[in-house]
Amino acid sequence: MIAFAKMNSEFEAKNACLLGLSVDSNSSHLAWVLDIYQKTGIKLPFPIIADRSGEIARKYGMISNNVDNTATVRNVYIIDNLGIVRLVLVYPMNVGRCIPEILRALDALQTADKEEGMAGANWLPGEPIIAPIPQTIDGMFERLDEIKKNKNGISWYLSFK
Amino acid sequence: MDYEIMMNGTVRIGQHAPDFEATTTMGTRTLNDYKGKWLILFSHPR
Repeated sequence: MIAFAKMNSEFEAKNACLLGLSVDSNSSHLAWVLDIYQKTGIKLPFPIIADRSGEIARKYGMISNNVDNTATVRNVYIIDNLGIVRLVLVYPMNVGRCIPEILRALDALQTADKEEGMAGANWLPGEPIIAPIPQTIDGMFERLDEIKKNKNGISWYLSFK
Repeated sequence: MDYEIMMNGTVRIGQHAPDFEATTTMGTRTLNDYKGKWLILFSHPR
């Protein structure tokens, strides 16, 4: 929670809101928020859902029955501005998430959307987006000409915007 | 409701996120509240 809280402003800068969830009660969450504040001075800047019945957890598939059928594992759903699920991360009880990676993935999704291409492996902000692969022979030869002219790729299937 | 979904639904990429209306530490929140923004929904064991 603290890890997410520390990067909240960076998520907000990308037009994203954080929303936590656990199956514990609202009172226990309030106590948790207070505890974090008293121990670290950090006030959690985002809400935590008290999903007592587990209805939301089950709907989203946050429970891994083999591990624990009463508590959620560490899921992340990146949902876009139209309400579509764009990315899902599922981490176990005993390994925490990498918050900078979640931010990077959000950035990659938004950039790839804007450039209409794809973010390659290990993409970092500022790096070019891969152009969509041509689907026809004409498209392929057009792309080869484009690459020859702009020197923006190594083949018809790998060129950058 | 389908028993499978009741036990453990699955949310897939490209699907519309399932609606919810929830009690939170900052009042009620619904999926609709987040329209126009990106939402990072994450679960925590306890």
